[in-house]
Formats: sequence, structure tokens, C-alpha cells
Amino acid sequence: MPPEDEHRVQVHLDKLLAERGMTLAELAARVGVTVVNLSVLKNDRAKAIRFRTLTAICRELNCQPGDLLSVRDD
Amino acid sequence: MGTKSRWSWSRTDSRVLELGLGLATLLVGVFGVLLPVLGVIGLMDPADTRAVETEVATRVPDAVTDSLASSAQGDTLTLTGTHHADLVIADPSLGQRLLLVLPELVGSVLLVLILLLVFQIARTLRGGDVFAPRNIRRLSVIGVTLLVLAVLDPLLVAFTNQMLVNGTVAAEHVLLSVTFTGEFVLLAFLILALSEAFRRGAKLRADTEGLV
Repeated sequence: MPPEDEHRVQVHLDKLLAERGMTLAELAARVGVTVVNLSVLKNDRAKAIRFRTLTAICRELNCQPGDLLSVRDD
Repeated sequence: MGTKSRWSWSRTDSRVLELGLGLATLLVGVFGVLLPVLGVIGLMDPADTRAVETEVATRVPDAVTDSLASSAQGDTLTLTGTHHADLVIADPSLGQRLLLVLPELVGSVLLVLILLLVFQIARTLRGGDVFAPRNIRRLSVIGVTLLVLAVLDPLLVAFTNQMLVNGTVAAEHVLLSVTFTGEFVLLAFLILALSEAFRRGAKLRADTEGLV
């Protein structure tokens, strides 16, 4: 069983969006998820991400998963 | 698949279910708890009769009424069995009144508890959120309560029967008989299995919450 404690994964969506001059709504439309869900991801409130969503975000932002996600130190 | 079901649970369905459960709880509470308690404390006519099994065997045509014996004469048919009799206590004391209603009282209290828990589960249908941790606990309690009811009720009946006839001439004729109902035990295990299904359903839902 996986541990039940909080995860330490950080999402750098806001930074990537700012670097590419793209809005959250625009990315949501391109990726095909709702702005609400993307906002959940951007604000570190997501508990999981589908590979399909991750692939689409990386495709639209022209980045790798490692650019989008990192694990925070304790 | 992919076609929308023509029938779906509506708010009216929830209300009807809640009304039915509320009515059932009220009826069990009144007739199974309140009225027997009023009888015990003397505010109403108390219960004075208990169905018991006696050890006296019935034989047909050896020991029967004239009409039965005459109709069975010449036949090779024999009917044997244990008598079911009514134990009637004239002017029962407070203790006897309590013993007479105790199995019904305990059974009804447990049934009211089960109905209240089902009512609370039904209320969560309003929000469409039945896979809640509270409902898992409720289902577990319902299952255990039903199991207790299935085991305790026959034991209480047998125990109170013996207490009622203890020291009387009827004592040697009344059997110490305990009959467990398998259906209730099966139902209890089914509900406990359902509670486990709910627990896993709730975990699956928690896993998908926050999934982007």
C-alpha cells in the first residue's frame, strides 16, 4: 500500500506559463481540460495527473515532465 | 452502453424513501417499544402470554380429540410432534411482565437502531454522496446489530421462557428450545460485505479526487 501522508510534488505550471506568455485559459483550451482542473494543478491542489494530461501539457508548453514537476525537499 | 438510463434517482424518490423509513421507525418504536414498556409499568394492559414449546408429544390417533380420532380411525396415518403451547400468566408481577416483553423489547430497540441508521444513509442520497466514511460505519453497525439480533433474540426467548416457568408445575413440560434463524445471519453477513464494498468504493473515490 502507498503511504497515506501528503505528497511533496511541486507543479511549476505558473512559471512555464509566464515564460511562454500563455494564459491558463488558453492552455486549458489547447490541452482539453477545464480551467478549474488546470487551476487545481497550478495551485498544487491536485493529487494525481493523468499521463494523457501530462503529455498534452508538455506538448503545448514544449517541455518535459521534469520541467513541470519536481519533488520538494523536507 | 453510453445511453442514458431512462430511470434515475430523484429528490422525490429520496423523500418517499425517507418517509417510508421514518414511518417504519415510528411504528416499531410505538408498537415494539413504547406499548410494551407501558404494559410493564402498568399504564396499559400488560402482555400475559408467551408461545412456548412443550415436551409432551402429540400422537394422532392415540391422544387426540374425538373428532380427529374418529376421522383418523382405520387410517395408517400417524402424526407425531412437539406441542406448541401458550403460556398464560394470570395477573403477572412486574418481573414477569418484564420477562414476557423482554425479547420483543430488545429486538425492537435494535430494529429501531437499524432503521435510524438506514434513514441516515438514505438522507445522504439527497446529495448523491453515499460513499461517505459515515455510511461505511453505519453499514458496519447495521450488520453487527443484525448479527446480534439473530443470535440474541432466540437466546432471550429461551432464557425468559425458563425464567417464567422456573419453580412452577409447567417447568418440567416447557422445553429449553433455541431456534436460530439462518436468514438473518446471512443477511447480516451480506450487509457486512456491502459495508466492505462501500469502504473500497470510498477509497477509490478518494483516489480519483484531485485527479487532473
